Amino acid sequence: MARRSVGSAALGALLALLAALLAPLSPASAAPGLARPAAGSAGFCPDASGVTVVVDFRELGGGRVVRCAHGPQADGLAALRNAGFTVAGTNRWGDAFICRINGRPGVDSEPCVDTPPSTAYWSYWHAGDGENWTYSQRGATYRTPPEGSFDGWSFSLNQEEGSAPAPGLAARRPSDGGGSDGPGGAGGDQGGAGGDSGGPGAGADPGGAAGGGSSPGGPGDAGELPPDAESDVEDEEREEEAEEEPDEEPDEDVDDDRSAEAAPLPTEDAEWSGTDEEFEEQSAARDDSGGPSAGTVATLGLLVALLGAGGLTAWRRRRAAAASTAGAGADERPADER
Amino acid sequence: MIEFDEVTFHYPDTPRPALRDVRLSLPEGELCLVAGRTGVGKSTLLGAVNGLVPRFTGGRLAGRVTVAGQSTEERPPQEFASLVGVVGQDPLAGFVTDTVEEELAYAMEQLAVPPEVMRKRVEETLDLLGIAELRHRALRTLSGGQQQRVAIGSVFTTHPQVLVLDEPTSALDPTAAEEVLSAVLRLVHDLGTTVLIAEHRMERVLQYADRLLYLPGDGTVRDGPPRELLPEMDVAPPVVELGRVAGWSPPPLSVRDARRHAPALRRRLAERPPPPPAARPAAPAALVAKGVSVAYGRKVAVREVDLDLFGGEVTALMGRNGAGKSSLLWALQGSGPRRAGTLRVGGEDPGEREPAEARKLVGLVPQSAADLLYLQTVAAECAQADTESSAEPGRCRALLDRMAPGIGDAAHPRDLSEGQRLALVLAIQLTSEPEVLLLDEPTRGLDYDAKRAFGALVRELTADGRRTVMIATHDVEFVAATADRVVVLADGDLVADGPTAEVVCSSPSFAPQVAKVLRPEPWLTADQVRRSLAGSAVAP
Amino acid sequence: MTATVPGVRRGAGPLPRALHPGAWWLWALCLAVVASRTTNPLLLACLIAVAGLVVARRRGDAPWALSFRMYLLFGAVIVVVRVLFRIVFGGGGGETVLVNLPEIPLPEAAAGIRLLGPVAAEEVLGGAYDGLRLAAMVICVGAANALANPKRLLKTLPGALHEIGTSVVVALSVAPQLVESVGRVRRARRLRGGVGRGRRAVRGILIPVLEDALSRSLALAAAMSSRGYGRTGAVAGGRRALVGTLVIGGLLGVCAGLYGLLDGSAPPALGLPLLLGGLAVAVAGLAAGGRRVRRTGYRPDRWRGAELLTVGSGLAAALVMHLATEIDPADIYPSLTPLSWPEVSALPLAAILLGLLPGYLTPPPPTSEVPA
Repeated sequence: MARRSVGSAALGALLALLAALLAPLSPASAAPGLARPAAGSAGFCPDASGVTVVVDFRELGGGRVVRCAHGPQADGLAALRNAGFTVAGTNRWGDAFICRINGRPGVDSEPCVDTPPSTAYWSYWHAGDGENWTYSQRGATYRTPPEGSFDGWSFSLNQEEGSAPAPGLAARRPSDGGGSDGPGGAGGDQGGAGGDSGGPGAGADPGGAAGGGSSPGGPGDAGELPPDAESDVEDEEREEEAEEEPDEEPDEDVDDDRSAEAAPLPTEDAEWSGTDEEFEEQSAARDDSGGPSAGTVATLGLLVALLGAGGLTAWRRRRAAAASTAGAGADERPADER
Repeated sequence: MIEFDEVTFHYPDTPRPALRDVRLSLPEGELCLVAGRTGVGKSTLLGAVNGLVPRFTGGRLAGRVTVAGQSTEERPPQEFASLVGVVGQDPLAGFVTDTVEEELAYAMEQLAVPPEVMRKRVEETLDLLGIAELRHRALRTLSGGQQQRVAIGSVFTTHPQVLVLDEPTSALDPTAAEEVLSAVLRLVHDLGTTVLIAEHRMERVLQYADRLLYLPGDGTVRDGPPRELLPEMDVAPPVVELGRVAGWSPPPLSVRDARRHAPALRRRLAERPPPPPAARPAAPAALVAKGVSVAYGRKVAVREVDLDLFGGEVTALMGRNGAGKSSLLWALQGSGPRRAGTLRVGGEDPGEREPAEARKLVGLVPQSAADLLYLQTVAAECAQADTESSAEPGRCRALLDRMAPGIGDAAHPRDLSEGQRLALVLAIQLTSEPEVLLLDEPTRGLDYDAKRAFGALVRELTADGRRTVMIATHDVEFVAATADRVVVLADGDLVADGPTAEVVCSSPSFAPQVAKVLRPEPWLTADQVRRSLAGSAVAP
Repeated sequence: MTATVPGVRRGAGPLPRALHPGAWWLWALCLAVVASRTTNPLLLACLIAVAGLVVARRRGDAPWALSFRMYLLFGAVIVVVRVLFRIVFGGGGGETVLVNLPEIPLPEAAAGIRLLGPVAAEEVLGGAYDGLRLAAMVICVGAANALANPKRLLKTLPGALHEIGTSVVVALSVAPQLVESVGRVRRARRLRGGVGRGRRAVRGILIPVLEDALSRSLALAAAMSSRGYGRTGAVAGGRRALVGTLVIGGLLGVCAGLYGLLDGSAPPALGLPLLLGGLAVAVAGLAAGGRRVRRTGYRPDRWRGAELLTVGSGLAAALVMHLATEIDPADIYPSLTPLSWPEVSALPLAAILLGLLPGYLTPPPPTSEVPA
């Protein structure tokens, strides 16, 4: 009896622990859904003191979202968060392995329990200002993005290993696009210092970064297309759009910026947006009233009933067994000395 | 049923054959007792019946062994499972499954007996051996007698025509041995099974044997009715000894036989009463135990035992298997668990001393004495014992030579005979010169001669009047010949304590054969009677 | 309507009997599959409670039946270790910080690894959910162990595997014997004053124990042979070699096939076809081997209604759970960011409750207790 109750006590304690963990959080968890203002700001970072984060949802049926995390960032995960994205890790590894950004991919296609498969995961990229995107050899929590650089997240769906699509947007700050070579060069240097693997790419092409400023958009974009994009017709179409459109609009942006230096940066564009409308809507739609729902409470009641029934049955059997051995088994002792 | 045709068997690397020119023909339905001293080849003979010898042991077998026309040469032991059932000395070592019922069914499953038949035979066997109430029990929780009966049942379910039993009762107390033997007898009488049984304690089996196979030690086997063979045998149970002393012919095989002659002998002995028990020396007790209790969890093995052991005295500790004898011995030595009670040996409590100190106060030879031995040679063991006891080098060896002369230094302890190994362990434990010596079942596997020699050795150890020896044993004949005092333990309680003759003669199960024959006079051994008669022959 | 016959009690339910061990194992494995499909702590707790209730109602009285509470404890240990691990190594962190533990600085080489530091609710709960899932699977296996004697399960192996089954049974019983032997020899060592240190002490225990084990195994081997174990009958050696080749080759094929099936990047030919082919070859080998020597089982377990019901309820639970993951996966994998109470929808709960059926609809276990 005693040992049995130890077992059920352990289980009980476990559940109590879970409940205790959840209880104080519920008011807190009510808030973050919407009420908490999204961190960072929409659009590209205005200067070299922040990290611009580009998240490409196109493979998941969305667009590209560009936001800025202001100030120095500890690692790629922090940049993503501070730019105002909602990030979910896996159950097993925590946030070290980023599984969902702004609730996508949805729970119907990815439970986020264990490491996501290599056929559907968020690939992590980085680039200095005006450079080509580089696939990060390190996880987001293992890499510190230099200030003024770009972090990119692009969902890789059904791609061959090693050919994840880069974020389909040039890693270029519009504000200093046509400006002096200085910031671009500095960005390149910083990129070289920032990541081990990113280093060679960025360092080998500093001039390209600086020179790229004069002819923004088109060429850069084309260069960033995944080499095997034509494998999928839809992809191809999408890429084509991405290729064509920038020809005009970034130019305009740049022009605008040039004409009005102090004017605020745009927070939206034909090929990217500063806020993830879809996600905001979902968050707003979700009922975050706080405490557990009626279904949850009912399940808890059912659980208590099941545990009670189990405990009672075990206790009864114990008592019956003890009674019968006390009555009958006295003379059938095992030989202890063998 | 069983035919041995000119069988000669050599173990590997031995010049002398273990069996030589054995020619035997055992008819159906007989109970054959295989007798002989230790190491004469009894187990070899039994193993040859179903081909385990030589297929398991190696060696060279010439000649032919057949059982019911099947030769062991042509078929492996597995194929004899339906013909020959073999039960070893330690039933637990031969169990394959965990519960009684499954163990009974195991052999039948191997032989593809149909399930319905199997079920029926298991039930029959449970009834036949009186173990029906044990059917669901785990084998490890059974007592020794119950295990032995299950082991017999487990080979019996295939309805073999021959049953081979190697020392089936040597580990059992007298009552359990009776249970096992009566089960065997039922198989012989009701079902006509041929039974081949080897047993050191011939007094338990001899009266039931139809035929005796006597191995004198040169590899041959003499075969004949017990009465014809007994006069020339060098091993004989006490009742036969008594017959020889009293000059009865034919020799009595059982207590019942002997009691027919007893009135005359009693009259002859009337004017010469048995020697009174030796007076207890006046010395203070060497060991004083008060309220000693041993419990394992909630099971009490020994309950509040008060016991004094005196120097110069040999005490026998008797009781059923599982009565708490071993637990008491271990508690008295100090290294076993003791729940309560006080213990004084020479003013100290061995339970509170370091093991090395405790063994200078109380020495214990455990039931499996070989557990104490772990070195490669006798000399190394002896040297180690001297170091352990901080004794001068050579003390252990000197003790060994006194007890069992002629053991080579280079001999491996495991190669010694049972008696020699016992002497070695005894010498090791005596090297530290404890005043109190405790022995747990030392006579297991000893033949009559070895037991007699061991008894003399024990008497010699206590001759100086300082040392005391306590022996836990089931062997009533050994107790009758050796012990001054008997203590009986039952279910953890001390139920009897007194001079040997007094305690032993009053109990039907603990009485030695001679006492049963000459009841109500308290004669214990044939030796006593012989000395008395010799004295009377001189006196008139 | 029901005529009351004197002395006959109606409505006392089916006669007590033990179910086929395979039925319980299949049921438990299905429940384990259900557990593997969710991280919802409420669902997992319900699943554990269901398994516990069925064990409490349907276990026998034998010693192995009492092992369930060990599995419960084991499960608790798994969860606690997971959570502690997450706290100590910082994990990925989270936004809802519960406690701020001092962070232990690490050298640059260990960048990305954090010792202690702020403890976030997300990481603790993530560890707990994940641990609970594993614990629930372990507890399901524990339930099978408590409900069905694993040795009886070995007895239901096909004839060709009989020898292997027996070896496993014997090996299982050797372990306690060794423990007992070590205990005995250790006590004996103390009689020689032997509390020696190091090599000598180990040797003093090891040698008698090994010699004891060796002589025991020889005795057991002799006893088993003389009782017909390993009987080959009159079968030619070539035939036996053929059977062995078939079985081993088939099993290798099954392994390769499973690998092909589970690894998405393997060529498709390596998957199902190889698995089925291997299975067929292995079954053929087993059948041929089973025919070579006939053996029978004592009190063979039969598949009857209750067994089918048990397996059926397990399968139904697994199927409904699968359906639930297709239809409404949101509540099955509750979100940690943002933190929220785990919601429970009806379908997965129904799947879990299906697993409860054998606890009520199968015959109760026979009792070995003596009626008082």
